[in-house]
Amino acid sequence: MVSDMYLQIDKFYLEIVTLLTMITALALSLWSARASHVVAAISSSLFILYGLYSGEFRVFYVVSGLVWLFSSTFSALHDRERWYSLTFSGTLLGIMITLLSQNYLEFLTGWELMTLFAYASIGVYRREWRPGYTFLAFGEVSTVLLIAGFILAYQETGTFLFHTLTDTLPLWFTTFGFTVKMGIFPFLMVEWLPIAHGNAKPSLSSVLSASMTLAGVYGIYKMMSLCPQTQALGGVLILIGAFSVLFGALYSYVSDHMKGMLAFSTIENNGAILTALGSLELSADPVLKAFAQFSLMVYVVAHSLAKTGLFLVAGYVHGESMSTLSTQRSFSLEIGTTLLTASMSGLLPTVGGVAVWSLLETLFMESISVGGILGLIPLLAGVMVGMGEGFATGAMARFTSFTSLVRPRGGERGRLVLLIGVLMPVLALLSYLLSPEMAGAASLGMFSNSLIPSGYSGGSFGGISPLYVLIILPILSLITYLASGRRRVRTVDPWDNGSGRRLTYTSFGMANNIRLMLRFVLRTRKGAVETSADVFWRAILQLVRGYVRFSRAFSRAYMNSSISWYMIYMILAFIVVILVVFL
Amino acid sequence: MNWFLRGIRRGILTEKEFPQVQWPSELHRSKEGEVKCPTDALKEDRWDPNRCIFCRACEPILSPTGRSVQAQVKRSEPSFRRSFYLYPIDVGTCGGCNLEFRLIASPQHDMTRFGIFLTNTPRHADALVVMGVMTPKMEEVLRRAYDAMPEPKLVILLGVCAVSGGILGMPPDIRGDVVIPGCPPTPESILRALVEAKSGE
Amino acid sequence: MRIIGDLGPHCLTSEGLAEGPCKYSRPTIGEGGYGSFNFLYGPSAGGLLESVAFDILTYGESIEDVRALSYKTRHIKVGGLPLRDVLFKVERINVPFAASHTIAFLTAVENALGVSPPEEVVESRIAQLELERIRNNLLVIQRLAEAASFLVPTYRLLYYVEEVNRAISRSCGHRYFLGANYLGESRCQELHLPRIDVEELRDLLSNRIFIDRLQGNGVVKEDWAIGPAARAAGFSYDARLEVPELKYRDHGFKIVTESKGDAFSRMLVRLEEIEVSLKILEGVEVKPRRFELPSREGRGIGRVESPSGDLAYMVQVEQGSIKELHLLPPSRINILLFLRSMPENIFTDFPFNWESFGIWISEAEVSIS
Repeated sequence: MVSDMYLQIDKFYLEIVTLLTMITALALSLWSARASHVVAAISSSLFILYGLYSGEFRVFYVVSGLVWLFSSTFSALHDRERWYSLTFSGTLLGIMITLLSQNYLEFLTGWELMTLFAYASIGVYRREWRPGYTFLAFGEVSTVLLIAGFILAYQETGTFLFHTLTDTLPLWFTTFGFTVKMGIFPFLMVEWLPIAHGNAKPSLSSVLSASMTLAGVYGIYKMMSLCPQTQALGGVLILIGAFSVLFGALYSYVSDHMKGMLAFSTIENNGAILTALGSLELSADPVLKAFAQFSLMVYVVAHSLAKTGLFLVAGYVHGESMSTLSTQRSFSLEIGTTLLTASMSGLLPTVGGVAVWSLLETLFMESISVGGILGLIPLLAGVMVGMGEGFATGAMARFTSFTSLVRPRGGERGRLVLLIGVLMPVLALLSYLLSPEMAGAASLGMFSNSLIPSGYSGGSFGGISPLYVLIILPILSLITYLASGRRRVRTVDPWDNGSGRRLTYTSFGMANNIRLMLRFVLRTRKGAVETSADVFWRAILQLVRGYVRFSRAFSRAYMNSSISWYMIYMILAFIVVILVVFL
Repeated sequence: MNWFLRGIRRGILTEKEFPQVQWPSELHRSKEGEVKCPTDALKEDRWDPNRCIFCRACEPILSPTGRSVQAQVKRSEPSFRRSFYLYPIDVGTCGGCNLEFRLIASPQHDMTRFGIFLTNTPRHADALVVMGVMTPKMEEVLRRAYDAMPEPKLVILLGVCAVSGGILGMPPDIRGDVVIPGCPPTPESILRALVEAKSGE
Repeated sequence: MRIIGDLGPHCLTSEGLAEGPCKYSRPTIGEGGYGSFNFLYGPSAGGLLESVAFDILTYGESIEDVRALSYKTRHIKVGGLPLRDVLFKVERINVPFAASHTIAFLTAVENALGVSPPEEVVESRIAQLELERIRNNLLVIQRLAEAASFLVPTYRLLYYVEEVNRAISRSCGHRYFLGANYLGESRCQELHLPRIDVEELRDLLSNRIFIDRLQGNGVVKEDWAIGPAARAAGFSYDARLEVPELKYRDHGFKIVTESKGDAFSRMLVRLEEIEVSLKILEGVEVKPRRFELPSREGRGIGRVESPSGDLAYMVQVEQGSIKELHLLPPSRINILLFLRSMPENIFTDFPFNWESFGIWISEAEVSIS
């Protein structure tokens, strides 16, 4: 009892210290950028410590803290601008407040703070005002929805504190508010436009991708835990999440802009996380719910860290277009990028592999256990998620090839990336800790408790063993290597059809077959850099332009500066008021 | 399914014994007389198959026997006994050797029953099949293809142009382990040489 | 009046020689934009029968422009050599078309010397040309099927090609007509017909997927096209009807045409021509024959319809040897047509379009002096 109380007090102090450290970082940025980043890194480490002691939201805190730690370390090593460190630590502060908030007002404060600082960082430098402005505009749209949801919650409970609700309407409003911010279909441009075309540096891009969207996921998860279960919302979330996976992955694959590829990949992963959240909401089976929760947490971990690492890779590269960039390959970057992209492609034995597997298992099991027409939703979603993962693998393979594998050797840098990359298989092993159950399958060579099983109330379904893969892969490779005997090696030039030319294939060309095949969906034009367009962005732009035209025409017709019409308006208004008062 | 039933009804088309071809085949002297050979394939009384282009200018003093022209296998490689992958490279042919070489895959000859296959890259090849006279630009290409092949490897010179230049030029500057004369060599003659090169039966 | 091609310094048309060079319209395709690069196919690649390199301007999978780079250029010296030696060299310019080359050359020499060959020789020549046509048309269709990995037709067609080669060998001694034609002599003993079931071929090749890969691929509509490419585009161009010396009209020969001009039409034309050739051969009798050639001087042109189009020789004969020799190989024009028909297609269309023209690099890249 006493120890619990001490823990509470310790936690409280830790929280205060963490917040104060981040505010110090913000203040320090006016004096020295490097000092600010270092202090921000310290604050992030404290936050991780705090997170380890927290209850059910532990994963969110620890992962956010890790993302901030890596980003600020990278900035401390590479960035010198004070304005940037100000906005960077401001963004981190905003997210931190959001995550630590105890009531709705604090949440909104943190949310707005985060949005404004991030806008300042994205929008101010470049001549293009559109990316930052889009970001801000849609950020405010999401805030409006949040406010609406929170007001409804306040109306029910009478307090701003987080209390359990009986009405599901707040959940609907807030969820849509969060999804708009996450760049979910059809608001994909909210995510890719600021990252790809704004001035976000690598460390801020990773915070935008990984941490800010994590705040959104945290918000939805929290509201879900407060409101009663709504299967309808679950179904809707699953579907729009799955659409985002498909379209995000497709655009990522056909994009040739380095940060654009990663931004679309973020949209894809956000969609997958949303699908996991939707699955959590859809099923009533506690065993399945526990597994869906596992898949959500693992996905959050996998995406946030791998995306951070990949954006940091972008910091070591000169140029933005994949076909014309220049960089040098170093051992750390090579291994790190390969492991990170393997995780993003959903390959074992990285944590990304566990994440994708568990998501698809959840969808499979739900389509079986949830009856009726509702059971078709996870089925459809599973199809789209599968297709999306395929494109994602292609995009990630292209990313790692053209930023690392085909480049000439030079230098030894990017150790931070190597560190994050190595975390990928390590975290796969740690995912055992998150799993609701563990099992063994001795007949397959998976000794006790090395299997993560998937199951629902109707029985067990499947299993995966990252440990097994992690052990068997090197062992089998080693055996093959040793058994091949003494090697005689003769180095030759690559076979180039005998022409003597260095044969090349550009990154643009590798994805061009899909651009040609899906010409209709992607609206491919020849000879331009952006050869495929986000059809949703186009559609929204059309709507907006149409509305602007309509409103201009309407206002000209309405306010036509003719006295007679104004008299008629006044008389009409008078009549309406009398009628309303009368009734 | 028509083709399936048709094929079954037709039976096996692969031949164990090939029909005789008069030209090109081994030549022997059947009459007395002087012959002016355009490629000097007749030295004293010996007929040199490595220079003969089978132009029939020496008919009827030399006449064909119908026996397929013998190849010289200077080196064979027993490790290719079960599987022999060939990479053809055309350094300056007339098209005839290319065509005759591809015909060893026809159902009558069926090279795959001897474990002979074609590959698309010298990296996977066991033997380099060189055809044609040497042309300047293809020298480098030939050198690169040869270098790209892993050990053990064989070089097969196919056709009289690759062996001695024929009537149209100089032969390629590469030492051949298997020399198959003929203009163009018949698929039977090629097949026999290949089987011997991989030390089969 | 149609343009056939450049023959030496002149332009050969269906009505004789004209001022050279022939006027073709050549389109220019500009540089590629972002993401474009040059993809090299060849010179030594498994899918190509001979050594030639293609420099393809592409954005990746798409083909914007193609250039052919020559690698196996052979220099053949014929100036001043006696006719017999030149004949041996002419035979070996392109052995799969040996009969066409030889007969065109001999016709040119006979024209130069002012001699008409006797009927048996003409019949024998028709038989040789048609047998060669059957074999080459079968080969083209086989290469198309092989490009599609369409294995049963590939092997059936390869079987037929070998059968035709054996029939040629039984008829004329050599499987490729080498040594079968001499100055003033035709050595083919008798005619053995190959047994080919064209219905079976039609049945085998009517596969929706295979046809889909050929349709719309490499459309050719130029009016200076020759051979099966021209006939597939609807033009009734055929040297067999235009050159009276070959006496095809007596054998009831009809031209086969299609209208679309794509690779599929070219394949259909060749398939039909196999049947037409077999019918012609049924009415032909082959006997060996010799005749005298005077020793005169002169200049002559000989044109035949090779399996891929018009093939012409122009010779100047002086005292039993060649003073000047010019060659118009059909592959030279077919390559131009191919390069012009390739843009707007994609990589996977490439081998089908290339094979459908029946181009032999060995006759296109030979330089004769």
